[in-house]
Amino acid sequence: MQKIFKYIIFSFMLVVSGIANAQQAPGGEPKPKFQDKKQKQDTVKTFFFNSIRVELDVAPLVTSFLSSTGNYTYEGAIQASLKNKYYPIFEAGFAGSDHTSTTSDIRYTTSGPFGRIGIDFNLIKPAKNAKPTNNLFLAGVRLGYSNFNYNLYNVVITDDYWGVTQTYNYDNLNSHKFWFEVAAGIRVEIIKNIFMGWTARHKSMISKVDSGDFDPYYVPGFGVNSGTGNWSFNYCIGYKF
Amino acid sequence: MKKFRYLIYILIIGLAACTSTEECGEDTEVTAQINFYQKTPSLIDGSDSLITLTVDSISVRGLSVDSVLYNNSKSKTYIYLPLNKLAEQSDYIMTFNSTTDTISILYHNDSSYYLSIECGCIVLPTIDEIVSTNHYIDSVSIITNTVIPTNAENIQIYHF
Repeated sequence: MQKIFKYIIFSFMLVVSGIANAQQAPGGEPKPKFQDKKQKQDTVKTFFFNSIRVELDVAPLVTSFLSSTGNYTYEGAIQASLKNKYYPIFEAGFAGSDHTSTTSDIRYTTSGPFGRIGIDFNLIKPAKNAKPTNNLFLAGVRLGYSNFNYNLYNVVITDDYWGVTQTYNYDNLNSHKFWFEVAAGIRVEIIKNIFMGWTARHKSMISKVDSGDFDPYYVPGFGVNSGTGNWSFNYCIGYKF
Repeated sequence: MKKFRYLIYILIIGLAACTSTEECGEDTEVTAQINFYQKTPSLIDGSDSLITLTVDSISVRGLSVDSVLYNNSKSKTYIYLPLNKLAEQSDYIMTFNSTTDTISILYHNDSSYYLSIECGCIVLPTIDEIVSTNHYIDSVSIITNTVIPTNAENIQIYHF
């Protein structure tokens, strides 16, 4: 728990330093740049249900070229705005892995859909008399779930002394996993209704397996299931309806 | 544009954090531990008392295997035996000083025990029965049925 808390604080610091740097006008006082832009526009009215934003994670377009791990994730999200304060979110995607261990030569393959639901809170508090802004500084939590099949090939049992060896292959094993995420990110309205931004998140596995059972090496939507949790990063482009 | 640069920095840091080297940090060696005891009959009630026995010289090899496990090893109070992972019986020829005995361990392997993709599977046998000739060995008994990587006394061999 303490570890998770540390991650939250760390991710907040990252975000805050990013914004602070971004706002620093060259050689001048820090200037609220986001709000300046908005001054020409009318005041954004606050209703219970304000808007809905549809997003696509474009990070895989870059990372799939850079990464050599054989893992891929494609995902999108729908996020609503309630009172411009609460942002319930539904994320869904498809992910997979084809990984051969360099130490054991076991090959693990999987692919499957996943979903996450959660809620974000907007941490930007507009100063009094300042024009409201559409930019968001979000932090929140998610619950993730995936039901998927996986395969393990080339599981070798070798007995060096007795000089025997046998190879096993396991096809279409099924698993389902729940995990918990803490997420933080920013969204900036670059053109009217078009948003760009990123989300950094830390994921912790909730589902456990009995020791000795096959624990999937990679879980769609979660990533490598190493027992220590995962960091991940989404770069999103979205449209607000 | 400056904002963009920071985003890219963070993206690169994020990617760098993802690379890791694989290694198996777990103990995958599974051997049965056998301890030697000297049985001395108690004069009071006829029951036997056990004293740890130090065998001066011992040689051990698997039956029909050329390589030896112990070759004239000195002052042993215990030995480790690898059980054939793909069989349910392992036979050994043991020479204590100059007396030879044959010992058979019968066991079953429920299923392979998966550690991780880095380590693969290990086999954890459960010992059912032990049979031996009785030249040097007086008798044998099973103490712990399950053989696991952490060493525990599985079998006791008694000598009068």
